[in-house]
Amino acid sequence: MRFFKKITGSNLFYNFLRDPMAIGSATVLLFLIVASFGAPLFAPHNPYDQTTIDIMDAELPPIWTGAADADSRFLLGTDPQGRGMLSTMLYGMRVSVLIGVGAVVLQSLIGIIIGLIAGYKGGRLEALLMRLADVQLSFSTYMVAIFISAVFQGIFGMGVYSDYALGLLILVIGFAEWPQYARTVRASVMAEKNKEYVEAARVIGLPQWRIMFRHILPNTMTPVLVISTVQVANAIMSEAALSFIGLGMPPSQPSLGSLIKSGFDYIASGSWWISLFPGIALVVLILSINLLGDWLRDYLNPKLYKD
Amino acid sequence: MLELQMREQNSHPKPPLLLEIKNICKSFVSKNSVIKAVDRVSFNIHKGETYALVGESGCGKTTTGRMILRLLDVDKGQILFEGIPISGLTKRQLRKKRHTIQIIFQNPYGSLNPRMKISTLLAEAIVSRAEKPSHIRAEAERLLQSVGLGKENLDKYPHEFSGGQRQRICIARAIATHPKLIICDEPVSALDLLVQAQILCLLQKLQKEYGFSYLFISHDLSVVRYMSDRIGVMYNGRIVEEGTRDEIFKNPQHSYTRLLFASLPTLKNADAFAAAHIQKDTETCQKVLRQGKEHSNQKVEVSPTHYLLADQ
Repeated sequence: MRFFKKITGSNLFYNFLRDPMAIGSATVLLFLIVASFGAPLFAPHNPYDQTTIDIMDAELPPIWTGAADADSRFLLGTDPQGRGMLSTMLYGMRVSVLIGVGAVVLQSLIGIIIGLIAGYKGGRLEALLMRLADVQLSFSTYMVAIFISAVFQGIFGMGVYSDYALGLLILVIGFAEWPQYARTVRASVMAEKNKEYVEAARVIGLPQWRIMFRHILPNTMTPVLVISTVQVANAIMSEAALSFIGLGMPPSQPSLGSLIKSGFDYIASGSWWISLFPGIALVVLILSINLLGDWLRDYLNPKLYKD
Repeated sequence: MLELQMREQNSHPKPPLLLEIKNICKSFVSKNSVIKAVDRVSFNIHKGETYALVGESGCGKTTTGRMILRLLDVDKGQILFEGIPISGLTKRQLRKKRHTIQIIFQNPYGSLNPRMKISTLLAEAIVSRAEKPSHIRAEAERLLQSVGLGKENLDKYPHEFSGGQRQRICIARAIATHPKLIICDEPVSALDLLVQAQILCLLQKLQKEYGFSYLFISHDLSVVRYMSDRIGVMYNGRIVEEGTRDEIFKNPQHSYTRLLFASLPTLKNADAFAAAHIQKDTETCQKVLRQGKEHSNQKVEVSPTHYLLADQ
């Protein structure tokens, strides 16, 4: 209760309530997340349950098209395997969001620790770590991800890959983008470490790790928070792109990206809904995350002028 | 009987040495120049004494303080604290010794971690003592009260305090480790006059209570006069004159010391502020700077406790 009061009494919350864009995007995002993580409750049927899927239901159009084969059980039509688009999308969005958040947690863990050590210690260690980050950044995320997924699929086969796809994608996307965090954290640490409170902590005789993690790190969290929103959106996009080229989630556990891909082959034959609805869901999801991130950045850094 | 008492007072033994600084030097190398920030500085601080370093900004006062704390390493020379050279300590030994020298910074806004409660800030300092007290929170309350703040402030964050209150918290943190020496790096120059007076009184009161020594770094002569026992006047990285407070204030010998006094705008001399002798002393100082850029190493003794460096 006290925690709740602290939030509603804060400047952040006050500012939030006076920004219609922030409220709008937060509402949409909250709706999407509740719908996707509550999919077992809300979805009309379970796309993972083989017994409820009938191949005869494949490629049915959305019900409002008035086509003769439209089925009232499937509001948004069905995909090529006979799964209802609405249910599959809800489950798929859950996979997308999980991968996005998971990858960002991994990125930030690696990046924050490396950035903190590089910024605080300086010298050769810093040079080494930051060159490592440069090397990592010079490989594009997709290149790393394509390489690793392709090798994994090649070695262990598609069956094993399907079982571990979620974890593997989190690992690959998470690992590919840690330099973003390392750079941001390093820059803030370098600004913070010369402040007097850090010297006061050194003079007391606190161990280095405590100065780094208890004193400096909490004061560098603002930019980390801001890039995290962008990074979640990026990670979801990366996953969608990888799935689209067939190196992401397998069709049996579809994400938004793999749904778009599975519908792509049928667009020419008139089944536009299979790609369109997951595509819209993906755009809305990314847009709401980015808009919320923009608001957060403006709030935390009022020195940036709005256009 | 009376004679005996007087003799006793005269032969009053000097308290033991706490800090000995012997000819320390520090240069900063930038791309195309070498700046001698501190040049052959020597002085001693006794137990329970307040030694003031006075001088203009950039004369090396703060650098000297940072070297005593070993936030910077000396290039040459030696710093002995209780007879032990601090540059010889390993990192581990140094961490164990850190609590004996503390610092109070100039800027009370930058010296408290904005994300930490006062209780946490104080607790960190308290547990770094050689002997940890059993009730850390009670000890923190006592510390806050001894600097004139109520214990209800323990669960607040630094941004909830004014500049003067923050400086009190900094003082509480400094004394929390039971130090033997506190370096006050312009502790009141960011505060307004009334608060300055309160903080200075507090510092004196605490010194009487705990018996630690101060190294008081300041450019403000009225503050120094109030606080110090002995004064070293620093100019261009060197101590150009050193003496007891009365010797320096009543009988300033070096041209730079006199310049410092002359540039003190008091109500009395405010009208004649640009008086001719300021001009003359400024010229002398600048001449010393131009010619050879250094003072000689020759000390001219005025009294056993008072010396100055000879102008060349």
